[in-house]
Amino acid sequence: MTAEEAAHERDRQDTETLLRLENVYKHFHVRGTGWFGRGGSYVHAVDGVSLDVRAGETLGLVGETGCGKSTLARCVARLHDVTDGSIVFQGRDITRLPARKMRPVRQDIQMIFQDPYGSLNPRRRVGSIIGDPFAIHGTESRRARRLRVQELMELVGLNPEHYNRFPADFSGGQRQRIGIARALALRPKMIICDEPISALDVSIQAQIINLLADLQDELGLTYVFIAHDLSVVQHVSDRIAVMYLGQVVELAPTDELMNRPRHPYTNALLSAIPVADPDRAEQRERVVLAGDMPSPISPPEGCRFHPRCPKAAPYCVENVPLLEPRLGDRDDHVASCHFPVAEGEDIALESPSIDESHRAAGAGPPPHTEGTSGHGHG
Amino acid sequence: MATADPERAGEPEQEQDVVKGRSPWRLGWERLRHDHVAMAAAVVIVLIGLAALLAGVVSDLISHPPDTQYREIGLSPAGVPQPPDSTFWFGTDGVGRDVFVRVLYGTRISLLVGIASSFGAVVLGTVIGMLAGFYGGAVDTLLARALDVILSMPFLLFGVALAAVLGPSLWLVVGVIVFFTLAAVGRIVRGQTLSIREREYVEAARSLGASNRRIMFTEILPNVLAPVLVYASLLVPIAIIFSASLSFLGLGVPPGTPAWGVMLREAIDYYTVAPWLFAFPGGALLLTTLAFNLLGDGVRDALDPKASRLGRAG
Amino acid sequence: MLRFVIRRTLYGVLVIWVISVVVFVLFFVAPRNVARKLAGRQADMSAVEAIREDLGLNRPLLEQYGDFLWGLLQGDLGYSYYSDEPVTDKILDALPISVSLAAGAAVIWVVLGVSIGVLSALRPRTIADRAATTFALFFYSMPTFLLGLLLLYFLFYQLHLVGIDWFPAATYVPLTEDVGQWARHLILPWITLALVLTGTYIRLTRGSMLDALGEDYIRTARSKGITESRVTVRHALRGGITPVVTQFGIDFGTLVGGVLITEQVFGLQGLGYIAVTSVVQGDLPVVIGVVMVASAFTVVASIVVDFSYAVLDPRVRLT
Ligand SMILES: Nc1ncnc2c1ncn2[C@@H]1O[C@H](COP(=O)(O)OP(=O)(O)OP(=O)(O)O)[C@@H](O)[C@H]1O
Ligand code: SF4
Ligand SMILES: [Mg+2]
Repeated sequence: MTAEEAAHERDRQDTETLLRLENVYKHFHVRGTGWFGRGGSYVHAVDGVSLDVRAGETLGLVGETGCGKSTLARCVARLHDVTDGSIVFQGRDITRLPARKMRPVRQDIQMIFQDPYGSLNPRRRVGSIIGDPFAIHGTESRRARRLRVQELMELVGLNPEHYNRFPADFSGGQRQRIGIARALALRPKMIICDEPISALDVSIQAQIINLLADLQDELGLTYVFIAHDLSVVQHVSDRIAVMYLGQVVELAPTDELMNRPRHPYTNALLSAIPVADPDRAEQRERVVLAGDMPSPISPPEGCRFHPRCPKAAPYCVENVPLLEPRLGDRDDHVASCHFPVAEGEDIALESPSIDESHRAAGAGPPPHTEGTSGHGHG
Repeated sequence: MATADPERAGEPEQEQDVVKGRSPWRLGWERLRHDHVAMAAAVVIVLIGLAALLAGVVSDLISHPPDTQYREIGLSPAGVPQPPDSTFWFGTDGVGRDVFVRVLYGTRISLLVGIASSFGAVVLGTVIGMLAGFYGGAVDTLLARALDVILSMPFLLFGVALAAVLGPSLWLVVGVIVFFTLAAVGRIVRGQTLSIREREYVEAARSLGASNRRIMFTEILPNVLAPVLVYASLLVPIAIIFSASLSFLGLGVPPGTPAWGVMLREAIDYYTVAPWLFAFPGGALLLTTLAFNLLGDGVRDALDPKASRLGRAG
Repeated sequence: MLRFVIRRTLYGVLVIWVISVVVFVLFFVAPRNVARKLAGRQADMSAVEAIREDLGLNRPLLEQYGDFLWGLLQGDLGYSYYSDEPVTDKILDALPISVSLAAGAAVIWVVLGVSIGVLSALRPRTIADRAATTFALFFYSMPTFLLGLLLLYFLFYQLHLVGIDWFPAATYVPLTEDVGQWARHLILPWITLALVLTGTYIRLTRGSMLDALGEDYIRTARSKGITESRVTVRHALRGGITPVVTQFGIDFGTLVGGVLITEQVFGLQGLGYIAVTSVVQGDLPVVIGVVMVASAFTVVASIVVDFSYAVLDPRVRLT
């Protein structure tokens, strides 16, 4: 590829890439218990995430609780300042934009929150909550605001006459609709949905999912859809990123990820989905992970997943796997595992080839050189 | 179950008769309205307020100014105060002044001190508490520590000492009460703000680009107002008692003022011969503090059933 | 734990130091009229100047503060402008009276307040509970001096008139001299102080007990016998007692540093009494001494409260 072609290629990508995260880190300082808070430490909530979100797509972001999904979302919405790395939105670096310059950008990036009870101020009327974006950005006259709010309420399936009610007068699903209406008010390009349905009754979850899908079609929205398991995300996402301990460990188009999960962690997540089809259910053993997720204060050396990985080998303890195509996958399917899972392999039957002393010492010869694609380990 | 969160009740969408929701304030008011004791107390407070407003009118009507000394008709030949009769309904005091009129005038000072100081404490305490809780960090450390220091100072003793330095006056009393009670308000508000700051709706406002000022006024303030209001209503009687106590020690409002604390102090010299001198101002004082406390309890139950109980030292 | 103790104590010292600055600024910087007051109404300028010089009020402020702080550190609070007596002596004389008053009253109000509070929490919404709540609110609303005057009038004066002298007023008999007389002379002040504070303790105990017991418990307690509920009561009391301990620490600390009103009403020459007298006389060293000592008591009390909190409630993190 010539330099010119490369530049061209970058341009082309930029036009279709709405959001680009490059090596984003977010560490929280926690005060120690020593004198004057000494002995503090850092929570590595997000630890080097690079991701692209393309215009019009839905990117699913999946991972266990505490793996840093919300933190990443908050960094993108600039609710947190990142520790390092950059956030590029529509080709513009917004990582350190001052609040004043950030305001217009905020119109384009909106969030929907997990807790429909916590995300609406109980002491304010719904009409004024939904009208907040107009009030803050001064985009509509007071008179027009009410009309616009009622349009929005209709758009998300709320009765516009309930304009003057309080959040307490609504059910969980309705409240989530209120949150959606508020996020839509400024016609954003992208909406980050942080577990928008996990607090809702199962019967209502589907309604909200459908609403989000309809809105996407109608308004050409781009979604980042966060969830802690794959069962919902697989149905709504074009691509899925799997997060573990502050890092993306696998990223692929949805079908590709579901059919050829390379990372053992992805396999574990997949095996946890309840399967309707009894044949498939039998076919797939559930992968039970050892232990809990380690503390993000001191993430494990080498591959972060090694203390729980069924395939862990001594090599994993010492060497950090890169996020790249494995086993001859296409460019858009990347995983960070030295011993990726091949098709047909059942990792539920495997056991790690490292023991405690190995995990600590990280001894043992590398069975593969870094980046070699080829057969699975095993 | 009684302990279930009322906000989560009615999950199945029971529609649609009410279009306009009732605000938490309205709901609180409706609860208060059905609290007979609190409403009775409110009526008493209104009457006390009327007495304060009409003290001048009444004194004109019976043509007994509060400071006139009726030495001929108001004192016995031996110079002893007169017991209540048809001329002097509450009797006369040591220099022959009409106790009834003076008790009426006393309502003015008590209400003024009570309301002005609890208002001042609430405004300042809310501002300080909100700033400390919202901004956190060094601002918070500084303000929270300052509140700690204020709370460690013996309240009444400092009031007394200040009166000695600056000379007794009504506004000094108000100032002292404000200074020493704003710390308690500030603590409550700071605690509330600290927890509200982390709520998702604040995060939502922030993600919309709301300024800090807007977040404090539209998101946080409405939520801290309920406990603050409860505290304010319970602060009124505390302020009234405090100011009466200072006056009783001779260090509150200047001697000679028709204030209940002053009258009670003057009554000590006559308490063997003229018990009405402390019965009437004392009764009025007790009635007022009782009424405010009863109303305050009602307000607390109506708005904020979990608010902490107040203490006071004497 | 040790680190917590040290840290908390250092913080207490810091608070006392800040208070000393506040006190100094208030009393040495603000008033220009102390010397004048001492010199008397008719004194001429030179007499006033002489007194200022005598008291060291004309020296640079920082120097005065240095002396003040140095004195404080050595436990030397200066000399009374009036009697030339060391302030420390005056305070040491007055302290037993204030402590006697506060301690005796504390026994009454804690026993009364906590037991009534517990009983009314165990039988919520009964007539007994209503009566307790009313009692609490009544005395909570009662100004101390008013109650003192009432007790004096009825229990001292009226009884005295009919020849019953159960409750002598005024004068203090030291505990070391005669325990019976000590208590007899203090009983009216004790009742005054205790009743006024009992209201707070009833409300506090009742409230936190009810929280701790929870609605569920009350139902089960009713359906089961009292024996079994006793265990639960003990549990609830332990959980519910923490706010009472906090309140008690604060109240007691404040009171030991001077019970201004009760001492004034009953003519007991404790710290509060000498504070008021010195304020009226403009005897600044004594006022400052009492204020500093009283503040120290409050700070110490709050430290003790924090420690007992940590002991009572294991959830409190010691940092
Ligand atoms: N403000 C903060 N200060 C310190 N640590 C934080 C803060 N916010 C998050 N963390 C820590 O960062 C890590 C990631 O948290 P985050 O909320 O992003 O996880 P999550 O993936 O969204 O989890 P969940 O599914 O529970 O929402 C957690 O260990 C969390 O404790
Ligand atoms: S690199 Fe090793 S430890 Fe990490 S996921 Fe792959 S096999 Fe498991
Ligand atoms: Mg989250």
